[in-house]
Amino acid sequence: MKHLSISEFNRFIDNELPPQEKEAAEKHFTECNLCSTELQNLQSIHSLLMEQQEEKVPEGIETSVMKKIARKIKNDKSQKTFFGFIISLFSVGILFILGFAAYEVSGKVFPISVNDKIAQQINLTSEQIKSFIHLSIGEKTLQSFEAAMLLFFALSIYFIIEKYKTIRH
Amino acid sequence: MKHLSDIEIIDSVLQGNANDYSLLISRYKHKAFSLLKRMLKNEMDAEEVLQDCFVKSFFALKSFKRKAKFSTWFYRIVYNSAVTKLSGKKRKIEQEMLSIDDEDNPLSLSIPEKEFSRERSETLSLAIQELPENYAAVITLFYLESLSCEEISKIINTSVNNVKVLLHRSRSALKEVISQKHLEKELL
Repeated sequence: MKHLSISEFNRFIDNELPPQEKEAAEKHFTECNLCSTELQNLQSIHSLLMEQQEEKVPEGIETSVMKKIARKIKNDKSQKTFFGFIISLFSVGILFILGFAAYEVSGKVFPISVNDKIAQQINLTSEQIKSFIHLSIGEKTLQSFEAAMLLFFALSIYFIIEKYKTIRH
Repeated sequence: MKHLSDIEIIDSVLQGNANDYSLLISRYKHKAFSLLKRMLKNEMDAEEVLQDCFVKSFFALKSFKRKAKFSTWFYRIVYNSAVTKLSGKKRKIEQEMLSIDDEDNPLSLSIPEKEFSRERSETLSLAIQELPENYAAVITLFYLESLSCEEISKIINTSVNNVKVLLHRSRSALKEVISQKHLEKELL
């Protein structure tokens, strides 16, 4: 029999060789000093590894981990609250912007309509509402409010993007 | 309370008894630490990653499917975290620096504690740390954690045959390390 390959040595140690091959190998070990020595070396490594002891982690890891978990739970809660707040403000911002868009186009809702009477009535009502808002609040106030809303909308988007980055991280 | 199974502890944690999680930490801390220390070759990194693994697994407990053992699932988190840590740039730089420093006598220079402890197991551990990460992982999981090749294959995401090949190679590699460092008398 030829000398055993490394794979065969390992399979012999792990008891994975078929009975016939195992028998042949055992016979070979009695005849070949080289393979017999190699087997002893690998067996001693195997035994050594079987004896090994686990490494001891420094004391207090339970406390550190539980503290980290508690801190993360607290952070997650506050982040959720903050995120909810931002989403609410974002929704309000969108509503305001839609409101202003509607305000701007009011009076021109139905320039062409299949039913002229209804269209005229709606347009007239829109114009009246617009005039009322204009008189009671003032055009400048409205414009600055609109600008503030746009700014707020942009800020909301920025916060949401930042939040998304944090969550991904 | 200490005789509870892993699943019973997990159920208790999921029912709101978060403090019971410390039982799982106590149960796996040393073994997981051994795996990390041998893969990362650095005690501080190993401790830091171990803490992160426990935190990660706490928040992922809900997604733990009970088809596999908790230990297999947890060691997979540990193994993947170690691989991620190793693939980090910082780690690469540190390793390059260490490899330059270690040229004269890797065992004594990389681990200063060697001076204070000459126990056989410590020497073996140092020799295992000299192996490539995947060899160190397979040897630790097979011999120290007593996991089967099937379980190891799930943890390191490879085939059972590949685990066997890795195991064979890692034993041969360890033999080489022991021989190169002239540790035969001390260990074999």
